[in-house]
Amino acid sequence: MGRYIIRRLLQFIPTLAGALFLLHYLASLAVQLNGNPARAMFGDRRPSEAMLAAVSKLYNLDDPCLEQVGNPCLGQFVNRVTNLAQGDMGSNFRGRPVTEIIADSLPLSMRLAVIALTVQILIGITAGIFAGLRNKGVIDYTVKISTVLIIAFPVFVLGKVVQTTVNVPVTNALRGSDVAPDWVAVFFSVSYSPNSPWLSLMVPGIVLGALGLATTARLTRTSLIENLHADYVRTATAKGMPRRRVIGVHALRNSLIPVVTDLGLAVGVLLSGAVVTEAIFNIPGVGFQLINAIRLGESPVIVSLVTFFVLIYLVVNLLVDLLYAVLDPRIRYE
Amino acid sequence: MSESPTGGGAAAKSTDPAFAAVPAGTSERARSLWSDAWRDLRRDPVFIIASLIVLAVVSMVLFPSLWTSGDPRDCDLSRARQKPSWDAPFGFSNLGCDYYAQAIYGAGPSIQVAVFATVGIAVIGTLLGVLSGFYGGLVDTVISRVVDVVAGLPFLLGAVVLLALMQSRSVWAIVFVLIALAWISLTRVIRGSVLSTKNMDYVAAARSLGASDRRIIFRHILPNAMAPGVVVLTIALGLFVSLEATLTFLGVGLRAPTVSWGVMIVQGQSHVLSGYPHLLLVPCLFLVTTVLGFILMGDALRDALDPKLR
Repeated sequence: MGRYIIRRLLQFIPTLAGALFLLHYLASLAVQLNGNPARAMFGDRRPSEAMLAAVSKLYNLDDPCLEQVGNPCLGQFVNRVTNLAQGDMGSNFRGRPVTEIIADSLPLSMRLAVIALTVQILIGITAGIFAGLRNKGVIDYTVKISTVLIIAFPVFVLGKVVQTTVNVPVTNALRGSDVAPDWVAVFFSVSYSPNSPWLSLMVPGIVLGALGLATTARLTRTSLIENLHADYVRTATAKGMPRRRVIGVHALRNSLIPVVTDLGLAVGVLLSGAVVTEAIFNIPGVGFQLINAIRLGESPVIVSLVTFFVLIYLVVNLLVDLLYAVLDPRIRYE
Repeated sequence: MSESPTGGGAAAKSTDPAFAAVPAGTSERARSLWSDAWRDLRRDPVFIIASLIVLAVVSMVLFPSLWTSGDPRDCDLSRARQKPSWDAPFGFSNLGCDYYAQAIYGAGPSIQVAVFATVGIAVIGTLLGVLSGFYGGLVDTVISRVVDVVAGLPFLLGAVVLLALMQSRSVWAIVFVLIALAWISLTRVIRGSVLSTKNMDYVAAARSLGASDRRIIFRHILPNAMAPGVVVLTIALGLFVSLEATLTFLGVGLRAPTVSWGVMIVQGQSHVLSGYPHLLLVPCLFLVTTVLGFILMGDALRDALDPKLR
């Protein structure tokens, strides 16, 4: 296992460097093709040459390589990575450091992710187990149909439809009536309210969790069905072990290994989904800042924020792969 | 997808009689997998429903006038936000356009994006998957590393950043971005299935009879390695329809003069609170049904093409 961990760590470095370079190259190419993004700061007004030069210098946009289309700007890449390693991700067009923006908005996104992951794990695995235990039964078909339905809903449609058909009518019905306690109204509120940082994130979190829930449920189901036919399960049943223990301890433990791996990949879906959910429910998280940066055309900020997302994604996947080696001692990595 | 299975093969066949038996044997086998699958699919109600949905959507794209006599761009502000009626089953949009006609014509850009992007990843993914699976060595290492790097970008985020930087909002820009990020999934699948097919006895037999690499790839490996790829591509069609709409929603996709489901959803969402939820829900319904059709079709194909499930 030690060898596997070292191999996996060594493999992480080129992937990380490759992903960072890809982002850097795209950003440089965009400047080379579209011209200086600093112009976006001035809106319709035409800045004087000196002013533009000063602003460009401030955002490292004055490098001559940014005028040669296709030039990978390796010098700038080295600078960017060095800055990143020192915790400097540049700043937006109003001079606010991107790290500060992230620090302000990250707790919200984390809370959203925690709710979503909890929903995904609890409901997804439970549904998968029930479906797997009664293969081709009523629950199995229900799970199958509902998971296909959920996959077919793009996350923003799911969010918008839930907001329109659940949150809006419930909020309207509760307005002015004092039958229901306050927390119900907060739970169904149409957008995030800073006064109740967890409760008003519940509906967006559930919507976000529903995204990956289908995959988790299906994966649990198939892998449980596969394991229930395995020799060791038959042996355990044959020696008279109670069914609850056979399933709970023997079959389930093995069945959950692929599910754990999938949860690592699910973080990528969560990060992307968070951008959409935060936009719909007005949650000022990191994804919301990304949408803002897109609207304002602040390409340096877009690149920094996506770099941050990619870092999280890669690190989480590294951790999941390492966890995989602990969970499944059979793994051999050549 | 294996458009040119003949070529060098036909020439070899005429010169060497030993080849006559081999391709006949393998094509028989390839045919039986697909004809078995087809026999299963014809009786599968899920596949039939999914095909009907897909057929309906494709006919909306090719012949929208079959479905509606209205013109999606014939807008009249005096009819703005009229409620659904007999003449206009979905009412009128905020700008007074016939919403039913818009929903029908809106299929066009969405499906175009999905089809072009799918064809793109089919070509690139198959080519690179075969190259890296069949030849191995340095080619495989390079392709697999690039795949790993691209997989390091979460899909939607990568698409958002690419489109935001490109500053182009055309169908082709979206197609390009989808291909640039999605080719890895098919490459991985084809590579894996080429790797397992490569060691089959019939490939060794063909090689010992002196078949060229190209012949082995096109006549022996691809027909047998393609089945999982077809499933991935069918599901990709559905996911691309949904991604196009998502990108449009995030403000980096198609824009207003274009009539597409994504654009309709973006415009419809602002009238939900003022009492016109159907302006949002109608395009959502069309979008979800279409995605559902493609995904169900892919699921049914997967079940039918998997010999283990027989």
